[in-house]
Amino acid sequence: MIDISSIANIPPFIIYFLGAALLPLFGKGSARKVYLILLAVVGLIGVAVLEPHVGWVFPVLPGLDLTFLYVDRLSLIMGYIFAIIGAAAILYSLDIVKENGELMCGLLYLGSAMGAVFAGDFFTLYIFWEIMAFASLGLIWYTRTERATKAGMRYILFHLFGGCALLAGIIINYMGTGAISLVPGALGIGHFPVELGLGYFLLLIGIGVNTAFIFLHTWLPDSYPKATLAGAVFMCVFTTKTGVYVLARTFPGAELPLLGSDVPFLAYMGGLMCIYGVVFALLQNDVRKLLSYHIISQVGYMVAGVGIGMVIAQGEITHMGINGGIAHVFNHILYKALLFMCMGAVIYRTGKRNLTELGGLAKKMPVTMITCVIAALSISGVVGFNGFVSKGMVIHAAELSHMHILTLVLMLGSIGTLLSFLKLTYFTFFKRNDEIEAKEAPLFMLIPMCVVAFLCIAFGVYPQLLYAILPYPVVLYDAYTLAHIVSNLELLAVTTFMFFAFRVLIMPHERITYDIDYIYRKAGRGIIWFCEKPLTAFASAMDRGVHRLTDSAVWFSRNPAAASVVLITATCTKLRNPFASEDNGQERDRKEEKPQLVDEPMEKLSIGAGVMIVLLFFAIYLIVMFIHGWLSP
Amino acid sequence: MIGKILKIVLIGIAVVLGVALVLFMYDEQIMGFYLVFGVVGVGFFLVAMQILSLIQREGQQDD
Repeated sequence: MIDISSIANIPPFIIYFLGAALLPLFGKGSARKVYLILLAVVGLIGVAVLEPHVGWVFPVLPGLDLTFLYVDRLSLIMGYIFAIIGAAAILYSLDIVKENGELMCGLLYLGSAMGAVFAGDFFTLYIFWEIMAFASLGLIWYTRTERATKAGMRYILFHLFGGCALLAGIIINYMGTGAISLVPGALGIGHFPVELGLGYFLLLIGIGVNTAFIFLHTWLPDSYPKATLAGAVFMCVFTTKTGVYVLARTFPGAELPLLGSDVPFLAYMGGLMCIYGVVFALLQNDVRKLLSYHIISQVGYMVAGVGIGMVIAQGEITHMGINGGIAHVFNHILYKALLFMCMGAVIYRTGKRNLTELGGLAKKMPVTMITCVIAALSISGVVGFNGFVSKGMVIHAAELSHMHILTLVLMLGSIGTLLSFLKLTYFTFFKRNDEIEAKEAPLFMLIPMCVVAFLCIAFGVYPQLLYAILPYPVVLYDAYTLAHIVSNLELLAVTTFMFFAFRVLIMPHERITYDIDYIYRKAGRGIIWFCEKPLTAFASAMDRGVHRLTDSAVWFSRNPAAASVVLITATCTKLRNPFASEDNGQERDRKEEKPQLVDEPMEKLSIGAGVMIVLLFFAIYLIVMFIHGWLSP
Repeated sequence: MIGKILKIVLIGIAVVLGVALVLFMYDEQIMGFYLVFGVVGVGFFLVAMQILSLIQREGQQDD
């Protein structure tokens, strides 16, 4: 039975999927703009009216229900931010997206991300997980360049691999624990019980691909810079953040027994992502590639937060790590989408995407510059901006958990982030460049940029707005303590000073940076060579062998008696004179004789003799079976 | 090339000394820790960039 207990609680994915399906009816003119604005508003309302609830349950098999709507505080905060930034991305697309197909991909992507965060069980989540991968692929391929097509292929290969790992992990874990539902009892936030074993690691790999764990991250900086301008705004929001959300459901505070102690590996993976992303971001020249590497770095903070999980301090148990991770998801979506919008506007107006070609845009695109600086200050965690609040929460959780190395690594990540955003803003807007020609971005691009910039400041100045919607109560943390403000200002001031002192060393260059995907591509080429050369040669040899065998069998079956004579004669000849050359006359005669023999009239046995032979073989067969005891039950 | 590597090694030693100082100060919780940490942090990234630039290739960033 379908349980639709409340009309207000409609799964938000339905709104966006329906919106995508009806989009072609509105053509490409003003009607489409009005329709998309209405759709964005309806999507926002659809999420705003949701209340903690379980519904839209479809029984599939005994004991297996697909739950399309499970709302708790964790899914709700994800839904809010997805709806807000989804609306902003739709507005941003109004003027610059010409093809309905691209918009439909964006809406399907947004809808499937909504479906994943509101899924009440892991199979439903998996369905939306895969739709997300294919819908986002469209946003890369709509660029319609060869580079984008190839990057899209690599992107989908990675995600199909991750999807397969996730599905296998779900099934193995289901067989071991019987757990498939995310819906808890009457209270609390649902967590998915995972048993240590193969299923555990497959789940981790499946989620790790979307979350861009190091070694599984290369699809991200490869594909995002090649997406369409509006597509990149959609893409920077959903895939990695849905991964973090699923991590928060499945592996909060995950530890692995290693060298006799439990190691919070997820927290340290977060730290590694944080530094790795920043270092590679600093080397980039393509503005969107720089931002893409920064997604890995920022997701590192979220993963670290989720990996820290619960914190026990001052006699209290708090969920500061998870809260910090999710708060950072919320804030990061705001400023990262804003950064992609700003850089999209720059590329749209100038046609240039490399820092070496940009500069001098501060006066020509003032609104874009101001919003970009706000986003840069937010991502760098400057006091008064939203990044300061959530990044501080994750670092504070690490401190309270006595993870001192992780604390220092996360602080180091802040320094690198500020360095690279000083580089981005300086070389895009403030460096002198008299040759560049540009004008301010269109109104429909500027409106969402300004709104999101305002939200970055609002959630930074008044963090209680964010605290109120976090999954767990915020205790033992105050962003605006004197020590936090002073330490932050000290760190950022010295970094800014050092940037201008060593600007020459950080200058962008037209260089190709190798990442781990270099190894993957080499290995991939090796596999292709192996498939094309040795494997194909082996297959051909096998094919020839089988053909020869079947030819011989056909030749033999035409006249078994005569063929037997030929074979016996040949064998005897070979035995008598094993070193004789195959070119001698006798051998040549036998070869010539071989095909002719089968055409001779066959000696036929009577049916009775034939039956006798069959019975004889059968009797021998039964005796052998009997001797070996294979007939006993 | 050798000169570049030498320069990187020297800066690397400086950064390692800085890291040691930072770790010491972190334990002691004295004033100005974040200033030192900032300097060391920027140094770390400059060294990391220089090391990675050794495996970079000239040309347009592409695939």
